[in-house]
Amino acid sequence: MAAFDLGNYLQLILAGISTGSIYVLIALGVVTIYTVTGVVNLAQGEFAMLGAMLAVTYYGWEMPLLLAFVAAVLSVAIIGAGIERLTVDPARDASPVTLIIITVGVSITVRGIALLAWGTIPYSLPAFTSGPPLRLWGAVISQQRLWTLATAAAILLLLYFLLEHTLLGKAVRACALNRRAASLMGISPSQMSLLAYVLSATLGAVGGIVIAPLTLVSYDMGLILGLKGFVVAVMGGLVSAPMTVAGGLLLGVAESLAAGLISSSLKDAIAFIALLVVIFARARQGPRIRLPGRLRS
Amino acid sequence: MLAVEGVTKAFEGVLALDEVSLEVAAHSITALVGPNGAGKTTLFNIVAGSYPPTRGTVRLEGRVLDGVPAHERVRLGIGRTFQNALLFDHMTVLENVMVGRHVHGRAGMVAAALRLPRMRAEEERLYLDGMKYLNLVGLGQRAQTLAGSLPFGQQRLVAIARALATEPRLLLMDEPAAGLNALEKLDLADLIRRIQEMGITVLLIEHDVPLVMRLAELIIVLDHGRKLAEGTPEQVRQDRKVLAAYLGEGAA
Amino acid sequence: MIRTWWQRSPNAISVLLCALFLGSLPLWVRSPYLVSTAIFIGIASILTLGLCLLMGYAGQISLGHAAFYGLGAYTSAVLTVKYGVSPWLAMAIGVVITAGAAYLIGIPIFRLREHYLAMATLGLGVIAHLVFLELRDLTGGASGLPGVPRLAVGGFVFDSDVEYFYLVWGTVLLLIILSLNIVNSRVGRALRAIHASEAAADSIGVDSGRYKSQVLVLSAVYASLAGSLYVHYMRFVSPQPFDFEASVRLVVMAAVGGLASVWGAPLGAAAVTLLTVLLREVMPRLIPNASGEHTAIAYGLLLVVIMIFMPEGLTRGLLVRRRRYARR
Repeated sequence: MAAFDLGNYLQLILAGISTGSIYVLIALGVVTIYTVTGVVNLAQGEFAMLGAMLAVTYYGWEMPLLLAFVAAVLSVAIIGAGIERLTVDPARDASPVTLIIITVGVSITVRGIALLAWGTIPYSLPAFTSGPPLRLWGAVISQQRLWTLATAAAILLLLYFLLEHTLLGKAVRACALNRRAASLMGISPSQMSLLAYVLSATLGAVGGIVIAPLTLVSYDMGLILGLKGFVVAVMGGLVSAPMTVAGGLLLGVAESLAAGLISSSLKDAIAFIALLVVIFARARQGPRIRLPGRLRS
Repeated sequence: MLAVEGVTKAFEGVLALDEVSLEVAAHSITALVGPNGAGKTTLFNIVAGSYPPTRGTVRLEGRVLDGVPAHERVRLGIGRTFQNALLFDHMTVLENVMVGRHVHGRAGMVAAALRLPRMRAEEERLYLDGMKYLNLVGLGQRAQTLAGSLPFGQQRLVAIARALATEPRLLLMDEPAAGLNALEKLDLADLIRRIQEMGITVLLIEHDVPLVMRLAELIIVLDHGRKLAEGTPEQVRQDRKVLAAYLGEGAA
Repeated sequence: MIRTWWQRSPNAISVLLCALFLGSLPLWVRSPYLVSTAIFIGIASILTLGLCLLMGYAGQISLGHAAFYGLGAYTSAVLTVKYGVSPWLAMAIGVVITAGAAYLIGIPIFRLREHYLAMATLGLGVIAHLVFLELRDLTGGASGLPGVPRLAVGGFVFDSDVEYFYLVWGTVLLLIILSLNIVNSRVGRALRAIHASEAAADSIGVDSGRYKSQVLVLSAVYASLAGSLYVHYMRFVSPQPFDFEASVRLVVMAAVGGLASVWGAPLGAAAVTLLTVLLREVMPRLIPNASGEHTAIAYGLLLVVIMIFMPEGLTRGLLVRRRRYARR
């Protein structure tokens, strides 16, 4: 390995941040659904996969890239809504395990359909802008990576705006804090659940499309993305957006540094080791408070 | 029997209890009253060990309870019932009470798996004990019913039987009369007196004023996390601060 | 009221009937493929049984149970292939190691709430799988370890499928008996209490932490046994059957059978396995040119449908209806 200069480190870090921002998008999708419905959606990664696949397909139909992007995101949002109506809504009062298994069923079905529709051959999506990579202080960073960062940041800002400054967003947050109270205020948990799924699907789809030009798109890319999304969501305690963002970026950077400096087979392991460290760090915060009669919200 | 000394409890900025001190005499029936949000259930949770106080100590018969986890306090003699019975819905009524006998049994997983004779003998005993406590609250004939299918008032009784099965020395009852009709309340009052006759000290949270006035020997009034007043029913009834808290400033 | 012994112990009857049914099975099922399938169902039942106790009775979710399965499998394989240890001893060592791992994991993990627990078990499962994959010198990596010997007692070697069938299902029945005993005991009630309401369980003196740990260890022991039985049948070990998907499949089997039900375990294992087999046979007839993808889609859809309409699993779904009529 050549001598390391700042540029090298910077490059790894920047690459890590851009990958990390994808994890953040997926993780926020997990967090959104969890806080509003109380279920961990094990099919989250599939939204990313569908987004990427549909973008590839639309682009293949001669749509301009931007249009393909938007159309794909919209399509996945609609699919997300459909999934919520068909599989989550009817099982509203089921136990957490049942709901988790339903998301597993959805994940298997979606992957099967993807396999049927697109086969096992990986696809690729061209970068959003063509052109030489940029040089920053000795680091080389491709334009697509910058797009990743920019898009993720834009979506996050949009999300923030939606949640903080619109009535609908506040309704979602109310539901996330306490479903019972929210429903007493006239907020329909069913509608909020639908909205949460649409939001998550959108987040996932954007993440998948934006990273598509950097990796290969295939029917099973959702699995590992989803798993890493969960890890990051757990870092955020499954409820905190800022911590999720921090966690996702950290994970991306850690993976990038480990792959670049030590060994690339370590990359996937990092995520799960990080998961365990975080979980057990939280467990050390002391015995849980068991409040009798607490509503599951 | 029970001494609460300077207990304070803060929850992320909300001061649920503020330097509350009180004493419950052995073999007595004491009532903890106060408007909603006064901190009564919080105090129960601290005494029972669900969470520690931010400051202050709790003593049971002189022994400091700091750091003793909730399930161990049961062995020391503290039993409790909850506002919402918290029965084990999918188990039968008898099984619910039998679990109450848990600390009085010893068979572990291996003995259970192999059905050792010692374990089977113990099971018999637990069964009989369970029926005994169930009959004490008058629900013997409902033994095999699923706990979740009972009407509310009966669920309460099962919860009481379950708590009694632990053979507590101090029984904390959280709003046992809530949601009961007049007849059921009379029966409940009877039951509480019988519990006292069994030698158990009773500390109860209640909103039903007539019931409390009839039953309790000592009444402690909490409001906004502080002890407002303390005394016999007569004394408390006439206390200005209490009247002000319940009925508003003008009535005092 | 005098009750005959069969009225007092419906479970004993069921066990007996099961034993008779299973004992005679190889006599009237001739297809070696089906006998082999039955062996896999048996192994899956052992795994699912442990999981049902953990998830259904103690209420703790485990999305990484394949890790214990793999630990038992690899211990048996590595010790017998590389160090010539007797298979039974290796199996016992596997149990000890897996139990120890479960105990250690249980210490921090039970302080976690539902979803953290699920995530933690998920992470542990994935890491275990990665370990099996990456410790190439020990485990043979992705290509695995061939040459695992057969199980034998004295001079008798379990080398035919029928003999292995009896071995596996004999174990299943034994574990079912043990599990039923546990469920209908003080410990079983304590576990169910913990599942229903930990707060209430605390209030009557049940040490939830200790029992959760115990049931985790128990479920790990079952999984370890299943793993050992698996490798001695396949005579080969590789990381592939111990991945995240395998853990998920186990949870699905447990849920389909009915979580809080000992009998639900073999039922769920059989249902899910037969479903997959059936789909594989039937799909090509319904849809020409159907293949793996169609099966996967049908499987996923059926899963969703079953969970929506029978969330308590097959046993509850059927049993509850019966009970409703009985308790008039």
